[in-house]
Amino acid sequence: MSLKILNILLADDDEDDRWLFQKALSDLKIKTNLSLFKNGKELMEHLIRTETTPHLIFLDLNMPLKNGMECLTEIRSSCNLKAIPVAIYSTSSSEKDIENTFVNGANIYINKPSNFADLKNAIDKVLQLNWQYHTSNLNKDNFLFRI
Amino acid sequence: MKIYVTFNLNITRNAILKEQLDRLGFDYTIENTQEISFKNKLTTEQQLVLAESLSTYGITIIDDQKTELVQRIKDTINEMLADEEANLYKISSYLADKLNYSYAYLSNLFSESTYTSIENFVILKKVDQAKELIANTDLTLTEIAYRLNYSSVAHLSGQFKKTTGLTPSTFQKIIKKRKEFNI
Amino acid sequence: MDFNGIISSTKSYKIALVIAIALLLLLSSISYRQIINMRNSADLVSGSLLVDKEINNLFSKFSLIEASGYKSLIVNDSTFKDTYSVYKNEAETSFKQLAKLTQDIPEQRQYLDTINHWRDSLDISLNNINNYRGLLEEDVEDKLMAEVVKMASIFQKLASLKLGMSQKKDVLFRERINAYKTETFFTPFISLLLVLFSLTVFLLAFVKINNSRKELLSAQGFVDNIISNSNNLVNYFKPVTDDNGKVIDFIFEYSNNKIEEITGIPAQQIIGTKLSESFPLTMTNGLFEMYVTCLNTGKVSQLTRPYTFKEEEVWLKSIVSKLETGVNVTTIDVSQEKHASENLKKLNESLFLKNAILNNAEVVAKIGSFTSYPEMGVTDMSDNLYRLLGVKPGDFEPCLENLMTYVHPEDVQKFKKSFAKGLSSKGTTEVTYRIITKDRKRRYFKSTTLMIVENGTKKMVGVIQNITQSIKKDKKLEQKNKALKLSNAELESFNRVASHDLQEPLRKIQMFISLLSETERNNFSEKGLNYLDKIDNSAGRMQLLINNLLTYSRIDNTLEDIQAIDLNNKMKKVKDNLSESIKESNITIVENNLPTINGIPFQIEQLFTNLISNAIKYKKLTEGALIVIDATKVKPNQLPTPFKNTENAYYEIKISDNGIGFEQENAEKIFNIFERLHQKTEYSGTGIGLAICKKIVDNHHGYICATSKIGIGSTFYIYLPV
Repeated sequence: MSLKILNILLADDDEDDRWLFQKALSDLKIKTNLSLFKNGKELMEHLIRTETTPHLIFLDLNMPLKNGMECLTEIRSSCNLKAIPVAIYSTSSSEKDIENTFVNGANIYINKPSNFADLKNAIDKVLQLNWQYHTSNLNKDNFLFRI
Repeated sequence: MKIYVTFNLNITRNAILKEQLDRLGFDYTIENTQEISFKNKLTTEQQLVLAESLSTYGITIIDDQKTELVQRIKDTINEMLADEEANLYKISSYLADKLNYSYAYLSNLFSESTYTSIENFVILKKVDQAKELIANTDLTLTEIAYRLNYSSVAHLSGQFKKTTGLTPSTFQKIIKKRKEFNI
Repeated sequence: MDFNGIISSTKSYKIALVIAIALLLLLSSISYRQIINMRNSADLVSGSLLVDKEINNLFSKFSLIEASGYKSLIVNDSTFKDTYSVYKNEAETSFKQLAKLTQDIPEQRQYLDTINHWRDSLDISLNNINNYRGLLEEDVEDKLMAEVVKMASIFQKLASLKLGMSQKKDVLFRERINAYKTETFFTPFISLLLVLFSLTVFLLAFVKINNSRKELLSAQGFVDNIISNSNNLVNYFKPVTDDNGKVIDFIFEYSNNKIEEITGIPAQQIIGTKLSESFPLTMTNGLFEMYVTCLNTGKVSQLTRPYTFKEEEVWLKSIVSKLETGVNVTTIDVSQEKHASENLKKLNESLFLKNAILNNAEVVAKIGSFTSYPEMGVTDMSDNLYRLLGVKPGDFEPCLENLMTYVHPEDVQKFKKSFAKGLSSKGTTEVTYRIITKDRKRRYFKSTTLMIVENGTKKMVGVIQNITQSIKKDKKLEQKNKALKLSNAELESFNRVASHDLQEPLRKIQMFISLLSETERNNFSEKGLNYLDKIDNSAGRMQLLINNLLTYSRIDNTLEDIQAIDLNNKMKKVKDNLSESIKESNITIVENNLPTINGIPFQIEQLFTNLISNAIKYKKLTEGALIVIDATKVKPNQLPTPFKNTENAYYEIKISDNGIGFEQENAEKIFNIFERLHQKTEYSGTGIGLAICKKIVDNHHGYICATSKIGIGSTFYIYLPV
């Protein structure tokens, strides 16, 4: 059996970032199915509606209507969603922000890179890690990475 | 109230397999963590039923020779990491010896199907073990470094930081806080 | 020693002595009279016995006369006349004797008178008889017979008289014997009494005298002891005169031990010497003259003069008084008093000076003071207190009521209350109030009062401080604090802006640049690519700037996460972080003796990262770069002077490089934010790196400085508390 197609969600209010993310993802070898959301509210509504559980959610922190942190908290407190790995995708490099998201259940923290190549590498690494955590008997409780 | 549990995945897996295989009335032997041999050849229908019932537990039947080999590489790495004496070997020769394939072939195959190298996987695995020990025991970093066959604490810390992007102490702090917040 | 006892007892002894003498005289006279009486008694007894003998003698003569009369009659003895004459004379002698013996006894004398009468009668009869016997007349017989009868009756009468006399004598004798017996009984008794009493008086006198002698001895010793051990030098001088009787010198007659203590010469050596020889100075410093005057006038006088003994100046006060033919001189060492008075003088001077300083200090410090004696209703106020109130010193009576008139009406109650509290409490009381000066200026005063009890007198001392300026400053400070809080909030929002809002567009610029150069490289002209590179560089610089600024602003002065940091480990990490540029620039880093310090790990890491990357950045392009890191412990006195240190020991961490260096005059400038010594293009940098270092070190209560020489290299010194 070859690799499955990964279901990936991204919530980011910045159109350019969404576009860049999509472009970077499409340049990678891993086959993915990316759904984009303009804010946290849209994302949460989708999560509640859909039946297919995504393999990974990318969350920007600073978003209108519902920010990334609120989404994270909601996901972690929902029985159906709590197992989904969440990667925070933010500009903030504040240690406080980073620690806070991890404590609240984020698995991966990505500082938005300022270079397209870096962005691709970052997404690649996240997907790899996520893959390993799905396939290699790694303890998901300790699924914590900062990229 | 909240309790914390750890799993012996092998036991869990074997228990699930046994339960499901018994339920379906197969005559089988669990060879190792990855292989189950059946006395009789299964029909396509039987295979579908088994695949479905196992999928409930997140167990997939691997029907691909390469995937199977990758899985065996992973298992061998796990074995090696668990075996203190095996740590003396180089990973490449250990895998080649154990699996009877050239390391170049194994490495290539592994990278192809997992998007990562064997070396990276070993590191990831070791860091995962370190995480486990940091999160669930009171061992000091020195003790953990010794246990996981790191040459020094600095080596462990360096590899930990490089792999996870976090220092062991930050990781520990986060895990501690998570437990406090009941997440 | 009870001299009073001794003195008062002499009076009683005198009385006792008088009484004893009187008693002795009385007893003696009694005894004498007793003895006289006894002798008289004995005389009387012996008189009685003589009387008895004479009575017998007399009457025996009469008997002999009678017998011879009768005999002559019978035998007609013609010799009778001669015989009678003999007996008559003998009787006469005896009678006279008896008369003499009994002249004091009238009764016996009566007897004797009667006897005398009868004797005469007898004589007549006998003569008649004798005459008749020769006559031979008839009637002679008759006549003779009559005469014989008459004679016989006379003898009979005489016999009865003898009996009467004897009886009388016997009675008297018995009386006298009795009297004598009585006398002989009392006389020894009285004599014994006299002897015993005398003995008692003698014994008492002896005991008393002995005791007195002993007391006198001990008193003598006491006085001697006092004199010899006296703190005062006691001398007795006898004058030496010339031929004209003029006093020319004095001789030491007595000197106590003190003289050795003062002069160093033992008293024995001095006694007997002349004053002019032993202490010539005294002849000229007025002492000798004083002795002479005293000797002549008897007036007590004194003189204080300095002397030098044992190479030290000694002030001696001599008090001279006349005693008998010489002068007694008591000399007191008054050096200490003299020095004390000199010290006192100095002390007074310094006190005066200090007072002046205090007054001046009050003026400078805008302080006034007062001392109040609540029990006496007296208050003293310092000059400056008046000045603080805008009046001249002494313009009003110094009392609290008058002071109160200057207190702001709204604060009078507060002032009174605090003053009352100050009076009743033991410690200090503070109150802040407003006053209105004479020229209607409003001032803030702070009074600090303290109640003290000195020599039983309650005293309130108060310091009044003009704190108008500090109150104004406080208010200003408060405003500044508010402003600071505001600007802090602004800074925080700036941080947010810088970290997110500013970075966001920048990041996107960089992102698209990277996309452009990655995907559209072939569509650009060479010029275009060049421009693209320039845009990329600028964007990169801007990002670096923002990042550095953020780092700088994030170094706040809280030392919350302070922990022990092994700098050896830290350096490893720093080198790890910088491994690429270290490899690239082929730099050698040598670390020696790095200690474990207390600090915030990420800040310390930043500090060393910045310093090392700084050294790498400014390395010489011509030779191999070398960075040496050393550390030693230093004492505060080894620290650079601008550093206001507070701890007892510091680590000095020295980071030396052999880079391009800088002008020493810029050594301080380099730590200022945005201070750059080089052209932008020459060396990359934002001008914040060292400012960050300084902020980190400051935050750790340390100090950072640098020395450098162009072309030789720079050394950065970091001082951190141990």
